[in-house]
Amino acid sequence: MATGTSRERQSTFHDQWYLVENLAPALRPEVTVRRQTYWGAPWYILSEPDNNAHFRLAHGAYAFVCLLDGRRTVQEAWEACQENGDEGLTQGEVIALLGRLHAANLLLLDMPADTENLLRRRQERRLKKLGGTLSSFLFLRIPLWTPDAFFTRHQRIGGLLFRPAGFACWLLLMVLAARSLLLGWPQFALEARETLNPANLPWVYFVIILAKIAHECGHAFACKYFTARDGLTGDVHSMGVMLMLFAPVPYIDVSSSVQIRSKWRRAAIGLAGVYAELFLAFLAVLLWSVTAGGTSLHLLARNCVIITSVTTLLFNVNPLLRFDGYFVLSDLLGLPNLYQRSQAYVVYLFKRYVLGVDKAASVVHRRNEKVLYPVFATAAFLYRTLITVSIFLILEDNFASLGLLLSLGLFCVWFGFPAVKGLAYLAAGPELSGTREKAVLRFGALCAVLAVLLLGVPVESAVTVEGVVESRDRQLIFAEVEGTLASYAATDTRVARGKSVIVTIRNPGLVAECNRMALSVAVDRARLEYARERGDMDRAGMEALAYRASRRQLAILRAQVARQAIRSPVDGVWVAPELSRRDGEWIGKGDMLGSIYSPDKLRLRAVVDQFDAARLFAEPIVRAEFCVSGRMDVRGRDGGLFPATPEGPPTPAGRRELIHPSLSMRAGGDILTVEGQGGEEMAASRFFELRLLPAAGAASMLRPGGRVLVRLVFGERPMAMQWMRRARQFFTAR
Amino acid sequence: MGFADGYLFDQVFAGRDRPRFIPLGWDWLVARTELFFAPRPETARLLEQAGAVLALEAETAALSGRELTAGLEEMRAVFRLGREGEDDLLRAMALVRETAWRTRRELPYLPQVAGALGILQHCIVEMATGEGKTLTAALAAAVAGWRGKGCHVVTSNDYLAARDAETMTGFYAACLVSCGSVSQDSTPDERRAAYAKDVTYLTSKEATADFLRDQMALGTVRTHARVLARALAGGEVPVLVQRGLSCAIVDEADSVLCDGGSTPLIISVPKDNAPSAEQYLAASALAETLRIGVHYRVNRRFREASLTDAGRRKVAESLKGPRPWARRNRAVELALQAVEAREFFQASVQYVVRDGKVVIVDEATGRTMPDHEWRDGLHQAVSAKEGVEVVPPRATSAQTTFQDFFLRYRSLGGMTGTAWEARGEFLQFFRLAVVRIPTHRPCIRRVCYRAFHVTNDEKIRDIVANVAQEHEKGRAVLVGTKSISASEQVSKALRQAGIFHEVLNAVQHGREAEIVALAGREGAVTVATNMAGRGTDIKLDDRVRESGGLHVILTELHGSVRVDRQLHGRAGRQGDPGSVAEIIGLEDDLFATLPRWARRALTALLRTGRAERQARRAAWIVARLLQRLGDYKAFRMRRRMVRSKRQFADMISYSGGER
Repeated sequence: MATGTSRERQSTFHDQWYLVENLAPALRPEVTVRRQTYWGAPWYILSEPDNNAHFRLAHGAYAFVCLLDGRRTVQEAWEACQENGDEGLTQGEVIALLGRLHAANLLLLDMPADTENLLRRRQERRLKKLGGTLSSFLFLRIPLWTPDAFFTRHQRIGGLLFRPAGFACWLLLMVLAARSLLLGWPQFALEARETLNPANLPWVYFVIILAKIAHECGHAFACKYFTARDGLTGDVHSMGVMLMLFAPVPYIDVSSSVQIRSKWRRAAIGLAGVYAELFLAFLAVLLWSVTAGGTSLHLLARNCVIITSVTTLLFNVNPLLRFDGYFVLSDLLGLPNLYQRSQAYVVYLFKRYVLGVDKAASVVHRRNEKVLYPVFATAAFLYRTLITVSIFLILEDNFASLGLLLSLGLFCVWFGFPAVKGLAYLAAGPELSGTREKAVLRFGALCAVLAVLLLGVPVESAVTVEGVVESRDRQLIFAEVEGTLASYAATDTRVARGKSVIVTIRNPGLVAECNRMALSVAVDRARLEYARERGDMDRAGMEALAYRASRRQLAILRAQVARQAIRSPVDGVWVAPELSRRDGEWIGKGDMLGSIYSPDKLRLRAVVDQFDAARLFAEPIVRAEFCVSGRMDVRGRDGGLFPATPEGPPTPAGRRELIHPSLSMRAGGDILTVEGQGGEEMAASRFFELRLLPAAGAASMLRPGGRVLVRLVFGERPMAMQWMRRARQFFTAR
Repeated sequence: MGFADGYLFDQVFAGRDRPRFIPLGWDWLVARTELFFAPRPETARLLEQAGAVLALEAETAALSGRELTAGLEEMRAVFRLGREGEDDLLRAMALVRETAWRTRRELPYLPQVAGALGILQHCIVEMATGEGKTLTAALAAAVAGWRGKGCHVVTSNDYLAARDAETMTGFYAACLVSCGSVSQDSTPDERRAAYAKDVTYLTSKEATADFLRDQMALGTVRTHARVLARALAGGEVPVLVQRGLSCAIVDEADSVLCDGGSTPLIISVPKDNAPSAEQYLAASALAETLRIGVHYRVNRRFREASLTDAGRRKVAESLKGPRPWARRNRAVELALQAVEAREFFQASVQYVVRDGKVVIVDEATGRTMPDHEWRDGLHQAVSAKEGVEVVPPRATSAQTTFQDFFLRYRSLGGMTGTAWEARGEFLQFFRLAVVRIPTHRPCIRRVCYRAFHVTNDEKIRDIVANVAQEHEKGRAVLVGTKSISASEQVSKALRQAGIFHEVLNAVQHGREAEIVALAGREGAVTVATNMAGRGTDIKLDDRVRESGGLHVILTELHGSVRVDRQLHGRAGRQGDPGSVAEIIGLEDDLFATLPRWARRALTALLRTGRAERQARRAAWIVARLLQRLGDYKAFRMRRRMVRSKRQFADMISYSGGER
C-alpha cells in the first residue's frame, strides 16, 4: 500500500466494483496474524503455515481485512472502513488487495473461482519461474528434501550453541583461537600461500561443503531455537543444493523466521550461519595448532580456517550481495526488498529528474530512505558489475566458446534486458504519455552529452607497460683473494671511490703465510748482514738475492692481505643482494661479489606487447612516465609519476627471450611464460622492447633489476575510441 | 470449404463460454507467423467464386418455382448438417441469388455475390458505399440461417434493423428461413421470439445488452452442466432471451468492432449508497474559487489537471467547513474532477445541454449519445458546472465491451465501406481478414480541389468561395465539419455570404431525416458534422446529377482516415457523378498534437511565399502522416486496453470472472 502523494489522484470508486461488492470472503482459519513495527509504523504479517506463505499489510489494509468474517460483504466492510478517513482504502485498492490475498491463497471464498483463469495463471507463473531459473542459472536452486523432522528431533542439541552458555563457549573459543593464530601467525601465513595450489583444490572443495553444511544447520537450528522461544513452530521446509557458478553448495529455506516479532532475533537467525561457520573455524584453528605440519588433519584444519573466514567475510556478511548479510541488513533497517526498492528509487530519480516525468511515483517517502537507497544501489551496482566482469573472465578462461555464450547470456540478463526495457519504456511506456517528447528529448540530450564526452572530447590516451631497471654503467666486483667472507657493506648503499670498504674477506692462511714470509725476510736479512760482516762477498751476493726475493714475495703477500678488504673502485651504489647468503662462506678467487653502478646512469627497458607496439611504431610518444612497481609511496616531485625519455624507437623485431627474469609472471611480472626448447623461460607471445632514460631525480629510488611501470602517453583521443581499442586488445589476446 | 482454415484457432476455441483469446505480444508474433503461412482470403479468389455463381445463372433461371424450392431445401439440409463443400456453397449462392431475383426483382451483381461469399467465409468485406450492402448481407444471412443456430445481422440503428427485416421477409421466406428484428422497445417475449428466428436483425447495443441481461439471469449457473443440475434438483432454471451466439454479420464493421470496440456497455441500477449530489455541487463551488496557475496546472493536450501546493492547501481548508467528504483524497479527487470539467469540457463540443440534462456528443460522429454517461463522477461534475440537476451515479451491475461481446461469436463476418486501414486490427483482435471488393460500376468521384491554409479565417473564406462556386453550377453541396462549433462558424460565414443552407448537427438533430432528404436537391447547401458521414444516403435529383452530382467539402482532416473516407463516400454513389474538395488549415485539431516548433516551421514555410507549392505539399504530407499516426495511436490504445483488461481479469479472478 503506497501512501502519500502517489495516492492522491486515485479515484475512490472503481467501475468493476460490482464484481466483488457482494462477495463475502474471510481469511482462511489457519492464517495467523502478528503485529510488527517498522520505523514506528505498525505492519501486520499474515502467515499461512501450510504453504509457508507470508504477507505484509499496512494498517489501513489490515483494518479492512479484519472486517472480513465470511458474513459481511465486501461492500459493507468497505463502507465501514471509509469512516477511517485517509487510511480507508479506495475500491481499486480493495480489489487489488483481495487479488493479492487470493493469489497467496490466504482467502476463503464461497464463490467458485474463475478456474480457467487460475489454471492459466499457474501456467504463466510456472513459465515465469522457468524464465527466472534460466536467468539465474548461475545460482540455480534444486530443492531436495524437507529436513524439518530432522531439525525438530535434534533441536535440543542444535540449540545449545544459541543459549547464553553456548554463546559464552563460542566467545571463549574465539579468544583461544585468536591466541593460537597470533602465536603461529608466521607459520600460518607461510602455509596459507599453498591454498590455491592445484593439489590443494580438492581439500578446498571438501571444506567448502563441510563449512556450508555447518552454515545451513546453523540457520536451521537458530530458526528452531528462536521460534520456540516465541512460542511458535519454525518450519524448515526445504533444503537442497544450489549450483553457484556450477559448483554445488547446500542451501536451506528458513523463511518461517519472519513470524518472529523481534527483529534482533530475526537478525540472529540470519547471522546464525556465519556464527556456526566461525565456530567451526575456531575449532579448526585449535586443531591446526596442535597437529604436526603435513598430516592430513593439519591440512584439513588449515583449509577450514581459510575457507570459512574468506567466504563469510567476502560473501555471507557482505550486504551488497544477496546473501545473509543483505537480508539481515534489510530486516534490521525495516526495509524489505532493499535491493529492488533501492533500484526502483534510483530509476524513479532518473525518471523524475533526468527524464522529467512528473507523474513518476516515488516508492520512498522517508528521508533516511532517500539517502540510503541511492548509496546502496550505487554500491550494489558497482559490486555487481565487478562480480559480472570477474565471472565473465573466469568463464572466458575456463570454458572457451561455451564461456563466451554463457557470459553473453549473463551480459544480456544483467545489462541488455534492462536496457531494452528502458528503451521500450521510452518508446511506448504508458507512464510517459503526455511527456514523452520531453522525456525523449532529455534522454537524447543526455545521450548526446555522453556521446560528445566519449566521442568528441579528446582525452590523453596512454598505455601502461611493465619494464625493468638496468644500469648503463656497472662495475662488477670480483674477489681477488680467496677466503671466508668476513664482513660486507649493506647492499644498496652509496660507496665512495677508494674510501669505502665494501667487502672484507678473511684468509688466515694468507695472513700466516705473510707473517711467515715476514720472518723469512728477517732471517734472510740477518743472513745477509752476517755475510757482509764476515766479508764473504760471494755469500753476501747470494743472500742479497734471496733477501730481495723474499721481500718481493712479502710485498705480494702484504698486497694480498691488504686486498682482503675490498674498497670501492668507483663512486656509486653498491649492490650485492647475494652476499648475505654467503656470510662466513668460502669465496673463491675471481668470484663475483656484487656490482657498483652509477645511479645517474640507469636505463629502463619496457616490454610492450604486439598490440601496443603497433601503436608505438605509428604514433609518437608525447610523454613517458614511470613509477616503481609495488612502491605506492614513492612519488615524483609534484606527487605524480617520474618522467622518462625514450631512448629511441622500439626494437624493430619482436622477441620471446625474456629481458630479465623478474618480468615473468612467475616472478610477479606481467609476461606469461612457457618453457622453451632448451628448458629456459620464454615469453608465451612475442613482445617488443622500448628503452627509456629515467629523469635524474628519480635515480635514488631505482635499483637495477627492479620492476617499474611505465606509462606511455600518446596524443589525445576520445574515450570511446580508447575503450574500443582496449576491448579489441582484450579479445585478440584471448 | 475454401479458406475456412484461415479462421485459424476455430477448433481450439470452439464451444468456449468466453470470448476468444486476443493474442498479444509473443502470442501475436507466433500467431502472425502462423497466419502468414495459412491460406488467405483474396479478392481475386472471391471474384472467381462469384463468377462461378453467376455462371450458374442460366441453370437456375430455368428452374420452376417448385424445383427452386426443392433445391433450396436440399441445400438447407446440407448446411444444417454442416457438410457443405465449396461446390455446395456456390450452388447455394446461385439458388439464393435466383430467389432474390424472383422475390425482389433485384438480381445481385457480381460484387454483391462476392461480398456475400466473403462474409460467409469469415471476412470483413470492404464494399464501396451504395453497392447494396443490405442485399449482400441478406444473401449471406440466408445461407447462414440454414444452419439453424441463429444468425444476427447487426445494423447501425433500430430503424435500419426494423426496415431491413421487413423488406427482406419475403426473400427470407422464399429461402426457407425465418426472420425477425429486435429494437429498443421490444419486450422480452418479443425479443425471445426474434432470437428464435433463423435470422435476427438488431443493433450491436441490443445484442450486447440482451447478452448481459442473460448473463445476469444466469448468475453463477453458467455452464450447461450446472443448468441441468439445477433443473434436476428442481431449482429455478433461469429464463434466457438469446439462444447462444453462433453467427453474426456486422454492418459498418470498422465502426462497431474497432472504433467502438473498446466502449463498454454497462447495465446499471440506481445505487442505494451513491455519493450524494451535494458533494459534486460543493466541489464545483470549490473549483470556482480555484485559479489556474495558482491553485492548479493543466495539461491541455492530455486533458489532465493537477493541484499545486497552494491548491492542495485550499482544498484541505475546504475540509474544515461543513464537509461532505470523509477523506482528503476524496476531496482532491472531486476538486480535480470539477476543475477538469471546467477546463476541458465545453458545451456543444463534448456535450450539449438538452431538456435540463447533459448529453454527450460523440466527437467522431457528431451525434448525441443520450444513453451514455461519463464515468467516475465526471458526468456529475459537468452537470454541476452547468447548473442542471445532478443525478447521482448509478451502480454497474454488468458490463462488457463490444469487442469482448463479438469475440464470443463462433462465426463472424462483416462489411463496411472502410476497413482496409484497420485490417491489422481486424486480424489481431478478431482473426478476420479484410477483402476489398471492386465496385460494380466505375466510380466517377474525384478530388477536384485541395487547399491548405495557415489561419482559420482564411480557411473559412476559402470554404465559402468553394461553396459559392459549386452552388452556382446548381449542384448540391455538403460541407462536413468536425465539431458543432465548426459547423456553426461555417454556417455564420455562409449566412454573411448570403448563401441559403441547412445545418445538421447534434443540436438540430430532430430534423436529421428531413435535412438529409433535402440535401440532394438542386442548389441545396448542407453544413453537417460527421453525423452526415457513415450510412447517410443522399438521394440526388436528376437535375443535380446532370450538373455534376454532389460536391462534398472536407473542412478538417479527422483523426482517422476511415472517417474521412466515409464522408468522401457520400459523393459519387452508385455510379452518380460527384466531387470532393479538401480544405484544411494549420489551426485544425489534427495539428494540435504537433510540437510547437514544427507548427511554427510550417507557418514560416507557408508564409514566406517562396516555394509555396512545395510548402503546401509538405504540409499535406504532414497532415496525412499525423492522420495515420492518429489511427495507429487509437489502435495502440485499444491494444493497451485489452492488455490491462486481461491483467485486471487475472487479478479479480477470485470473483468468478466478468459477468
